[in-house]
Amino acid sequence: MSDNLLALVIIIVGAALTISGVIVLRRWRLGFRPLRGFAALTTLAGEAIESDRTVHVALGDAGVGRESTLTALAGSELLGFLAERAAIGERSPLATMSDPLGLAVAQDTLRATFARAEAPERYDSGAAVWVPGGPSSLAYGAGAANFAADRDASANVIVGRFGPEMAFIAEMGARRELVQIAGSDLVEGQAVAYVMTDMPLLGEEMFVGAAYLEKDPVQRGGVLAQDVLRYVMIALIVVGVVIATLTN
Amino acid sequence: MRRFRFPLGVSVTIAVGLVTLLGLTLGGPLLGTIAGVFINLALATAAMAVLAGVANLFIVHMRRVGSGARGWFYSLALVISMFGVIGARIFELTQAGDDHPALGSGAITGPLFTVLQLSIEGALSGLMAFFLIFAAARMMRRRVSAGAVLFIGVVILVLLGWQPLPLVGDVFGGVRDWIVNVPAAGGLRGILIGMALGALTVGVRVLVGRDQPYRG
Repeated sequence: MSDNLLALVIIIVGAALTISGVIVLRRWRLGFRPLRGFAALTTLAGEAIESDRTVHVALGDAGVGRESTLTALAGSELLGFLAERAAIGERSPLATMSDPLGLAVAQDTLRATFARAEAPERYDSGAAVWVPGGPSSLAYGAGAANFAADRDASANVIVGRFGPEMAFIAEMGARRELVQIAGSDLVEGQAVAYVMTDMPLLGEEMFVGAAYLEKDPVQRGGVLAQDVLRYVMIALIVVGVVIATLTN
Repeated sequence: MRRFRFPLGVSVTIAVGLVTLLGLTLGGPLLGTIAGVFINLALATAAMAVLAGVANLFIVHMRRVGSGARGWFYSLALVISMFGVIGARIFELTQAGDDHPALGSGAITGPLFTVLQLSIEGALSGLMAFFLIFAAARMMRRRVSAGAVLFIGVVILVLLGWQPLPLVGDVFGGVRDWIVNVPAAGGLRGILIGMALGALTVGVRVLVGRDQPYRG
């Protein structure tokens, strides 16, 4: 079987498992393990409104049209969630990114969220800021940290594509004692998130935000499918190791 | 009219997503060509998005300058630099005639990139090492857990393994290699598989029209 065909089969299996997950969750009550990062999002959104401050959402180099498309969507889900809550306050979340298409996604997310909240006049295109990254994105990290500090952000939600440049944003947050939630689809970024923030989102945790925050059945079914696929993968790896050991 | 806009957007997204997916996986002359057209459209959109990004950069920083917000001087410097580089690039291209040097390799932008941008990024890289060391110390103050202790212990072992000193490097070099090649490589692959599964489920949700980042 070619790699492309295998990819298609895995996607079809994933879709079938997601649908099965929705059916299972309708029949049985299954709880998900708590993730501190998502549990804290609602609280930090409320605290930002009460203190009349903004929440900084950093999307990094994630943008649609590339292999980071799904990471950009995961980040925009969290941005939309925070904007929905911010719609009852005075300040829109501040979104920074280094991918120009990530800028379009963030602006559209903010605009659509304020429109749904019947407050389209509150949408500010300047709340999404493009900070060009350069070859190693370090300039983005420094620039985004500067923007968040200047706008007196009360929390950092760093979810997207980040390498070591995440350290600049997280360091600014640590110095100002901000609540920080961080996740990246690059392992270098995950290492920085683990060391520098209180609530790191590791591995696939970044992609399950909608299931935890919106409790939508399809989203939750997707998380169940993800867990089933993970156990299937583990079983396949163990079987493969046993077969390889025995045959050698 | 608004009643119909929402399902139309979802239908178009699902159709384009499925055709592109099938074109990339199954190939074939028709599906492959259509998938290629969609991908090229995305690339063309990305190129246009840079212009929108430049406009956003200009507007946001000019607002900061106009309102006298904290750090307005840096914003002014950024806008002046931006127009300076754009002007230099146009001048460079007019001087080069038929030869079109890539951005960053021309007579003017080349030195600008190597002297300014690379040296600044090099300085930022140097700063990062200090950030991470302080962060590790802060982490131990904040939460002394088994995971944190293990993390710090492994970092110290690996750093000792990198030392060029004869005895220390010899003793810890093997430990470092084992850590990097066995548990770290295994963990890395586990994380990557987990992320691929996470991305797969997000992709499925978009394809079935449940995730709608495009809805207005």
